[in-house]
Amino acid sequence: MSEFTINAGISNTHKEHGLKKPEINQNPAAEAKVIEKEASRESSLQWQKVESKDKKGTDLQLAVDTVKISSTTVTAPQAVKAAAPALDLRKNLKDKFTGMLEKTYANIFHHNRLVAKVAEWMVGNIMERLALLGMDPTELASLKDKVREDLVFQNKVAFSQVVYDEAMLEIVA
Amino acid sequence: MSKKKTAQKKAINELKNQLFIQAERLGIRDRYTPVVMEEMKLDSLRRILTEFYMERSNLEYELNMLGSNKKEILIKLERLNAYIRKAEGLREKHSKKVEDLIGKEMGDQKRTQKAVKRLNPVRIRAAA
Repeated sequence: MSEFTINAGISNTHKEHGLKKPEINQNPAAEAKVIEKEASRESSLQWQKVESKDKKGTDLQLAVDTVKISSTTVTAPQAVKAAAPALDLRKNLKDKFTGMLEKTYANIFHHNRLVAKVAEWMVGNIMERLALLGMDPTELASLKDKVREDLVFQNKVAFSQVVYDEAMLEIVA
Repeated sequence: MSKKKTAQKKAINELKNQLFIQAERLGIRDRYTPVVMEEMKLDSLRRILTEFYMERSNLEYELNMLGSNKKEILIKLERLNAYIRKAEGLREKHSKKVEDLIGKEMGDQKRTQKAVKRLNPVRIRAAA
């Protein structure tokens, strides 16, 4: 088996991640083969020996399949996309904590004292996290104001509903 | 009053208390003065009366239709009229209560009128 066919035998995992295949043979001849493999892998091109047209000898040509899955062509797009997940994570965390703050801040005004106290503690923690994520204090204040306004409206609606029920009960009872 | 109605009233009072506590924590407890509460009740009574009137007109329409169960509709109408009378009585009662509360907040009207007369702008202008 020629050295070129040995190159074709390198698995895709080893090519993509640049991992060295474990060396089994310690003799100089085997070492030479390994060096040859490394050189061909770094160039990202793979040559293969094919039969010549006149069927008398062999010819060399680029192995198209191996070029497609070479380290350069595969890893380069991944390297470009690498920064995107970090930004997404920050944004997702910010959204998640904002939603949590809205829910928890409403509980601060709960009629149950224990629930209100726990909510106070949680709001402190969440606000700290949001500050670490780079949220503006004015933005936080506006968020809290919005929640409070909603609660005031809800309280008014609930009161009118309770009074309506009371009046209905007074009539029908 | 039956047990069920007592329980319903108790539940409503509990809800009211919880809403009052929430309002206090929100800092809007002052908004729910006795006058405001009475006005809310008056509004809800008006809403209920409107619904009753609509139901009565529907029942009357149904009564005039062919093939309807007249007996059942008449019983419903009778009951509805009783509820309407009760609601109208309550509306009168609460509107009087609102007027009394507003009058109380204004204070003694005769004394206020006397005070206004003393501050007659014509006499003040003449003295000047």
